[in-house]
Amino acid sequence: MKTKHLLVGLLIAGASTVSAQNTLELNLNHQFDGAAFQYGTVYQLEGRAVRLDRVQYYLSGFEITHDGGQTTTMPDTYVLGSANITNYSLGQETFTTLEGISFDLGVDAARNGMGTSNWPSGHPLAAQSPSMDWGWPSGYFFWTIEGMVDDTGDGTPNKMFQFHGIGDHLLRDVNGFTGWTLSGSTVTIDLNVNIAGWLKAIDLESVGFSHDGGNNNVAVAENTNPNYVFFDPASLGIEEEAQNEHFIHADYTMAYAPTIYYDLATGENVDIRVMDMSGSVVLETQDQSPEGNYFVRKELPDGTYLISFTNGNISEQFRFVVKN
Amino acid sequence: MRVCIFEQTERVKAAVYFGFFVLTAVLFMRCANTGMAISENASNTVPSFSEDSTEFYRVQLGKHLFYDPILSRDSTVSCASCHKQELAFTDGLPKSIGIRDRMVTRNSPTLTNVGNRTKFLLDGVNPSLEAQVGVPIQEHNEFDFHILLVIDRVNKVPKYAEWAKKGYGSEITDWVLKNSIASFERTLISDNSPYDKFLNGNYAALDNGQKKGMELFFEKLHCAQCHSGPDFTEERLTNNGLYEVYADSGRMRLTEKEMDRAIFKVPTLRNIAVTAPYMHDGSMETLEEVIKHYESGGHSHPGKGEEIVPFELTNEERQNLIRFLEALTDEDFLTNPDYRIEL
Repeated sequence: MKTKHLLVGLLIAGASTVSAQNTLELNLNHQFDGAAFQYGTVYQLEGRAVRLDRVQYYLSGFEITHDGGQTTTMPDTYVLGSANITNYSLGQETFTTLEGISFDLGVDAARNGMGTSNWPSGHPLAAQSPSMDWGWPSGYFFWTIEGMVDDTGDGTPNKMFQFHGIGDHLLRDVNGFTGWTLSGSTVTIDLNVNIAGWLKAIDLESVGFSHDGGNNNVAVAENTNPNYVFFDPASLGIEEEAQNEHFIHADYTMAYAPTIYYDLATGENVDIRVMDMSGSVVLETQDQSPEGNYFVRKELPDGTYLISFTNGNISEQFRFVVKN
Repeated sequence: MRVCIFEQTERVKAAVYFGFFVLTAVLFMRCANTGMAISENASNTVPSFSEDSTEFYRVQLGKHLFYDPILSRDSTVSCASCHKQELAFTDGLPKSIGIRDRMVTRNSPTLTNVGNRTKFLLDGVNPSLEAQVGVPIQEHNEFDFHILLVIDRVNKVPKYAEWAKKGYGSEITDWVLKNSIASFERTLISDNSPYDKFLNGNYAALDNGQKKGMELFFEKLHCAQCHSGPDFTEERLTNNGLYEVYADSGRMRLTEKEMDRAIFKVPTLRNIAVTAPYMHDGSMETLEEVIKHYESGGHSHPGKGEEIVPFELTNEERQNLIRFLEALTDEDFLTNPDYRIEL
């Protein structure tokens, strides 16, 4: 069973080393005003019922502070955050004691102008599904936040809204994470991400499809500040919680080729199979992370399909629909 | 107005050649600065490739992909659906039609000498031809597809896989697909219109009406303030006073700057006579309408270019100006078999 490091502060793993290459990992614990975030759950936000179906965002411009205030930039490190994924690799850096980190929300202007085709498959800046770009340079979506809001007052989210933030002017510095004394061959940084923070004081009923760099997305950008969306949970001292449920959610942005967001209650990798209703396997892949976004990268006929996640400990299935 | 036509045309020639020289120099410097091979940039010289060169296979792949509707989700629309050779790679519609009869939001631009361009989309927000290739694939109203699924499809076509291997030494990737189509588009060079022949010393290539129209264009009306350079555009961004209030926010849709509201790229005039309807929204059906719009000085708009001021033309002058614009039509370009595939 995978342990979720909700509100646990900074986890230091491995033996202490001196000025060696350290593996840096980032845990992004997604929440909604203090509750663990799950796709499809109805939350209350400023008196309105809200449900989110997709939350993804880019982080770039990482800079670490270490060893008495030295700074090291990490210009080639990018994170594509997804609300169902906690663990991200930041690569390797040389330091003895890590003291802090800062980064930007969005993609830096230099790389934002390069387009997806320059990156190898699997890189955060390569083509994604659902798309995280408009297919042009300057066209990465810095974030995608999609969901429904209740505009009738009956407690059921019924009106769609979508934020796709685009444009260099939306890049926001996220800093304030300092004062740490972390060391070890592998250093894991835990940060909480309060998704609700991005949506504060925005009239979600009037957002509609905001796929641009306009006022609604500027408001999301302005809401991104330390201790508002991203914050260091160490000071709160709340005990960690264990995840004992599987969370699986289908994203039908491309109904003809959905993406399955999953976060499984296991620490072991899983094998993934997609089967049609006759039981024939149409897609298959082995040894995948227990949390991730599985793109159904195959043109399938209309119908209902079953995706299964299995390892020695779990066997979880989920139905989804393909509609061309 | 009586002007010695030969004296005038020599001056025009000199101006145009100078413009061409500057553009070429700028392109060369850009390539030198970026480390890009100069052969990747088109010029007004038709490239030739030996049949076994990597360039040949890149263009071959790109040309066939350009004409293949499998790039669209339901395999009904190809690049060539909106970029037809006989219409100088436009489609004759006010606004193009994508899959499932969805209407695209703007008029289809010509691909004439598109390899010389450095700004793409009608508002010029896209700075590379390769990136431009990805736009219709993903747009809901155009191909409505996903680049990764397109790649899966085209890799299953043996001839495409073979040409990719010969051209790029790899299977078809995101980059290979976009670069191959861009490589084909860079071969779409128009340089043999009557106007070009005139510039090359064949003074009979233009009739008297066209020569008078040319004088109007360059000397009296100063159209070349915006439509300058060898392609009659140097990609200035401006507002031409088409409306007081625009439904399309132009460049502002990306930049979100008020100063970019309803700002669009100055288009090339090469082959303009076959690329009707005109304007970003295809709202003008004829060149005569377009000229009358400029005669009126256009509508008031805060971003309107200062060059857009009223002027008067007689009917004869207007017809001569149209005749000159017609002299920019390159029949070889519209019929060149190298730009087609056998279906």
